[in-house]
Amino acid sequence: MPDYFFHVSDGRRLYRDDEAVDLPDIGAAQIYARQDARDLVCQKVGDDVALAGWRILVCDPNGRELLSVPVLEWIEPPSVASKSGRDVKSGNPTGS
Amino acid sequence: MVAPDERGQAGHLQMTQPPIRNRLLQGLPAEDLACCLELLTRVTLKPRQVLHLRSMPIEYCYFMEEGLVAVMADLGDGKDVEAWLIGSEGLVGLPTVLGGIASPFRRVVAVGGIAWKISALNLSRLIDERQAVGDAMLRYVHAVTVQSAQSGACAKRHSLDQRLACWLLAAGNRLESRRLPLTHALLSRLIGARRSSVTVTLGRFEATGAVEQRRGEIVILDEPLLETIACNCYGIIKSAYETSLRAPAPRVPAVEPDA
Repeated sequence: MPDYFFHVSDGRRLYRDDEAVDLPDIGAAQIYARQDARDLVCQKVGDDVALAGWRILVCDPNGRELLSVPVLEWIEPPSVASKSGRDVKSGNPTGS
Repeated sequence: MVAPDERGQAGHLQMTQPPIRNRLLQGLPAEDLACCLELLTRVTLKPRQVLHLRSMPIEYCYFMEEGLVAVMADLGDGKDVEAWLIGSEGLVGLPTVLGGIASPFRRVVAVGGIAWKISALNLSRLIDERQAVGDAMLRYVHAVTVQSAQSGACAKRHSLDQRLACWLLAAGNRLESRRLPLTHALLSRLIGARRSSVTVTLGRFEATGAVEQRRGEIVILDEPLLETIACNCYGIIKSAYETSLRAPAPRVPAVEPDA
């Protein structure tokens, strides 16, 4: 399985991943990067700075960037946002 | 009587014995320490060496001299998580001290080093026969209990910055070194955060001058600064271990009702 490196950029500085992870393919790497992004938010990493502009950069062992995942991407994916909007308009509560 | 351990060569050990760094052994009265040494064999621990399997009878216990052993908990998802680390402050094999045969934890060498190995049978007998050994072990059990409870509470409330600073300081204490050969992957499992979150947090510590990251190790540059980042759980746990290493003041005998 290929090695993927998951560096984190806060827009100014790059936090380098020196250990890498073996994953089956780039699809698995994308899921892994999103889980990383979610944890950065949940753990309140850098709690005195906004995470807007932060990205997970997925690279191969040669340093080639394969994916760039915005850390805040997962919070409001466009499809989910529009779906919840429709539910509110139709008066169809999604909770309780 | 205590039976000689495998390869236990008391005379040879005492002739060539290097200074003892294990703090539990250091705290024993000379006569009790001499009895222990007759039953101890100095062994090298290699990284990833499994010392105890989960739920299997514990055959040998280890007084740590150098290196770190991780106590691994099974969370049911097929992945073990490090629950705590044992270094030169402690003993690998707490269930034996408490009369248990096995435990639900696996114990694996996280950082290679050296330990004094003793059979569980001989350790049990030492505890039974020598009160100072038994008392020291029970004080150690108390410190581990404090650590387990405090770490559990810490994980519920405190930030990643605080917990990571805590673990780095604790690992430094256990290794008696400011150079910590810990990977981000190991730290992430200890702390229960993703590796990238640990990497970013360490990067931020580095920017303050508290630590420096070198190839394969994290170096504590400014311990007082790291202590200001850590939560007070670090101080509570450290104090519990330090207290456990001190022999207690003699107890005032209770007055017998009929005396």
